[in-house]
Amino acid sequence: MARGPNPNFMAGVPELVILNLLREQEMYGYQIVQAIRTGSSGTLSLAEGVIYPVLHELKQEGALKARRQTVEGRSRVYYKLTAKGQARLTALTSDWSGLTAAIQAMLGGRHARAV
Amino acid sequence: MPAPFEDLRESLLRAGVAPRHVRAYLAELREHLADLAERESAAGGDPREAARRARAALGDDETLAAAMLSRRGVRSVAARVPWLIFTLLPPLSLLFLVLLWTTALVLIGGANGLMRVGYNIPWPEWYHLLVLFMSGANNILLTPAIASLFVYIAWRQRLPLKWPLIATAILLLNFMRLGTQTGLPGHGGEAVIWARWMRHFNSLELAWTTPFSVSAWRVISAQWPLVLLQWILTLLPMLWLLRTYRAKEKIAD
Repeated sequence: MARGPNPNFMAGVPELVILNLLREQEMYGYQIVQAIRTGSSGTLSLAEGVIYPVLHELKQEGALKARRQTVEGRSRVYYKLTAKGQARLTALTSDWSGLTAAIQAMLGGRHARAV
Repeated sequence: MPAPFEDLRESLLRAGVAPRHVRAYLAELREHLADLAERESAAGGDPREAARRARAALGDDETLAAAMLSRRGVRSVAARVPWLIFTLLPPLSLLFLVLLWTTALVLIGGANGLMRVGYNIPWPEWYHLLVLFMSGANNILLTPAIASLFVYIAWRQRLPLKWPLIATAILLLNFMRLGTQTGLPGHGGEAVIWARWMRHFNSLELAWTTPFSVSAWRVISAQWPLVLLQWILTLLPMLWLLRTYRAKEKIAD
């Protein structure tokens, strides 16, 4: 069964995922969405167009840099991580790790009590 | 048939998103849709069905609009503080441009040795003509040009009609008093910014007159064809906007 857009993804995780993807190479929107889909084995599913407001906001905040390039007659906007973006990624990754560890601990505890 | 994303564009603009953000968003959505359409076509099947699947994968207009509106800093200044843009800026920009205009005349005169305090230097014909032309252009074209600018801002951002109407009204109340008129050095030399044709200037100074003064109405009555022309030109952009909005409403209905 096809999955619908994941509300948790919309709530705030996109920054983390996007910054992480752009850590290694610059990418354009379509590439980013496909990388999210492939990387999460389809778990993170979203209306693909919603990626752009996130990219634009990150760019506005200085976390990303953008450059336009025409490739085979198509105009692509490539996004690249900046030093500020790298710092943001480190902070977000740390927050996320803390959060998931806490949730895991809670789930584990509940699981242990249930057993 | 409306252009792709036309409804999305309208809803974003009406929600106050700055046109540059809307433009950038739609440009990337178009490219993304083309990529999706290529992918779906490559998968085979009915091309129309492939196009439909591509559009569905991109997200419906409501989702795409909500994603943009949830972001900080995308609303335009005119949408956030229209009262500031459409009430304070029109007279300020008019004043600034008239000052700029007059300063340019003074600088040109000064650079050619025609402006010396305390001296009445006869002006050559070319400078008389220049002053006459620039004053005329100022009086007839400047106010309508500024009114057009504010109407354009309102149209571009789909703002309610009341805002450009207020800007136009403010300009109409003010522009008659803006122009260039000078006195002679050694004879008080008072000069006012005034909407009036003058042929003999020896110096240029600026002063502000009270609105609706008797002298202002004297000028209006004496020069009613000029005033009428100015009013018509100033109101034209507003009439155009009214028609455009009505046409859009009809299409929407």
